[in-house]
Amino acid sequence: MKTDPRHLLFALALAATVAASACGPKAVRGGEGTANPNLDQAAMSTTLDKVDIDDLVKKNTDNLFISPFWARDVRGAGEAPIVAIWPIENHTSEHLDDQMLNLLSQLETTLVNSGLVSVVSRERQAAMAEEVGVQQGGAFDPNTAAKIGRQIGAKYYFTGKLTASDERMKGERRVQYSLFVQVLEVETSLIKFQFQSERTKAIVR
Amino acid sequence: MASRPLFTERVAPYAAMRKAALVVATLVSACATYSDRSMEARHSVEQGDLDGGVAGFNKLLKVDSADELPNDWKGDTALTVLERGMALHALGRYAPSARDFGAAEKELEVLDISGDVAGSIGKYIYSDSATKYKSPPTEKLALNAFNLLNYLARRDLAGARIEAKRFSVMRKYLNDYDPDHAHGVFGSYLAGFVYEKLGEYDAALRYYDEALAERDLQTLRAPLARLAPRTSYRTERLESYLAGAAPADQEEPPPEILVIVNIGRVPYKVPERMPIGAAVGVAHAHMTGDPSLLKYGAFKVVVYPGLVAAPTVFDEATVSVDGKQIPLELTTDLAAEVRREYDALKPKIIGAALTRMIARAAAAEGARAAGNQAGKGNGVVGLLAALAVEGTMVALDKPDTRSWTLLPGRVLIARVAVPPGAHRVEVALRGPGGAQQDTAVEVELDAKNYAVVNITTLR
Repeated sequence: MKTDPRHLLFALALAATVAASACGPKAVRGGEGTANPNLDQAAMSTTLDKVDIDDLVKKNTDNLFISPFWARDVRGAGEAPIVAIWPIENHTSEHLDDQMLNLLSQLETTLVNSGLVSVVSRERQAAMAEEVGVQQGGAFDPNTAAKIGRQIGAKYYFTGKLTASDERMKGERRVQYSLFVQVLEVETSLIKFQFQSERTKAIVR
Repeated sequence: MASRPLFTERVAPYAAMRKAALVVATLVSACATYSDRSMEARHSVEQGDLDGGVAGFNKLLKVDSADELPNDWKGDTALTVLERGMALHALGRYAPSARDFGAAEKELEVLDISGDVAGSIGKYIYSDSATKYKSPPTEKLALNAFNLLNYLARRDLAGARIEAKRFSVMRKYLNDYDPDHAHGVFGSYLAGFVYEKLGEYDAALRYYDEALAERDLQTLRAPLARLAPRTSYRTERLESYLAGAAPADQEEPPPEILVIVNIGRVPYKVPERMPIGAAVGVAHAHMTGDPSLLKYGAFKVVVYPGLVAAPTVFDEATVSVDGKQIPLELTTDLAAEVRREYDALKPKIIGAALTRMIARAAAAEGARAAGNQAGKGNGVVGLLAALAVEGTMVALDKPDTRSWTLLPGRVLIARVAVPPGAHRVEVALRGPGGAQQDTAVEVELDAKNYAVVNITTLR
């Protein structure tokens, strides 16, 4: 039987199309319990990702939970003290708006789940801050914090800064992040706890 | 039908050359350079149609609107995103412009750090555009400076501070590795302004001092006098500026209006093809009457990017606040910096172009020998083979015309302290041939506030 060359061409074109579509990008699911459990582990850039934020928050809260402040003033308190979380300032060289929200949520979740403190909702706190003219992401001001703290009945404030040392040389860029967390007593502005955790990201050849 | 064997008829060398030239001309037109591809969008911008320019860049990026970033980043994508970002900046669409600059910067950073052995070899063998795009120092520093302005114009000091830091990282890197090109007065000036408004006066003076190291800036005299009592940071240069300054009479920094006028555009690259072989051949034929050299010289072409000035519509600007003219000062001449960078690189560019021409000539001679052998001594076969090989290689040699073509040519700054309240800022632009554009902006300032008025013409 004689094959029509046009049919052959059509079949080849179809095969090429199918092959090309098979090589295209596709969405995958990753994380625990999926076919790609290590998908989150790969660094994609020098900005902070979920793995970095988990690590930074964990190091700080682990140290908080074994600190004398926590043993004496939180565990030893008759009832769970009310705490508020002031926005953590981004002093790095990266735009991290979403990551900062994630970081605050992580910190809030960890504190709430400790069961030992009562955490003021950030929405209520933000509304209070707005009332006294403080912008989200604004600098920590002990006077304003005390004012808002009294209004919402908080005994302690969590605050902090995310800083970074950013360097570049031929063939490499390295960003060393530090998350600095402080707990201040609202009434006295005394520092009750502070700790700094670190994480480094880089692009190397 | 009887088929006719190839290469059996005698073909006059000139006719063969004409045919080969036609093939090459077709190939050349198919291999558009970056400046060719971006011409339509650039032309819209030159006509003052910024929206048309954005649409043109969207087309090149294969996206439906400026709300989208491309999915697939390859070749010149980062550069095209930079161009669109600048058109958006000129439109006052600062948020999408900041997104474009940020995304392009990340991509350019990876390209910068990654190796490009194949491209580096290719640049000397077959095409000037074979390398990955690595932005020159002027573009690197301008990127962070203009992105800083994107945040400042929206009064987002936290975002502007991040860009100021990124600018510093890049400036330090260039200072370490390419100190002759670590300029960026405009970026240092704006970074100083950001830190001043954040109340971080040490950092503000450090940045202002950095700007003063490169250019005498009269618009900084009053701010320096205001800042000096609030910080102990000093350098010899700052001391000399402060020596003649009247002491500041206000405890709190006054509200301030900062006006930035970006006029013109930097020169950009266009493809140049210098037919040196033909010139030598014609001269030889003219002097000796022997045209034989012409068949060797037809495609001895040096292919390189030349630099041309961007069309200028506006070259003068004046600024008035509440009807009173205030001094507008040239802060950065990006056009001159781009020209300086090109002049410094030109010997390398021409050197690579000559190397490619020699590589093409060697390949052509190989083809000529093979053609002569296949044609059993028929020189026409060898000539055609040589012309085809060399002509194709010339056509594939795309001059590297990649550059950030929409970068403003000159950055001018005016600033004035004003009492709290409403103020009217007027910016008048004039150009050769009577071109004029007047813009009036109303700003409302409270006691601790500042306003940024940014006019970017891109023409």
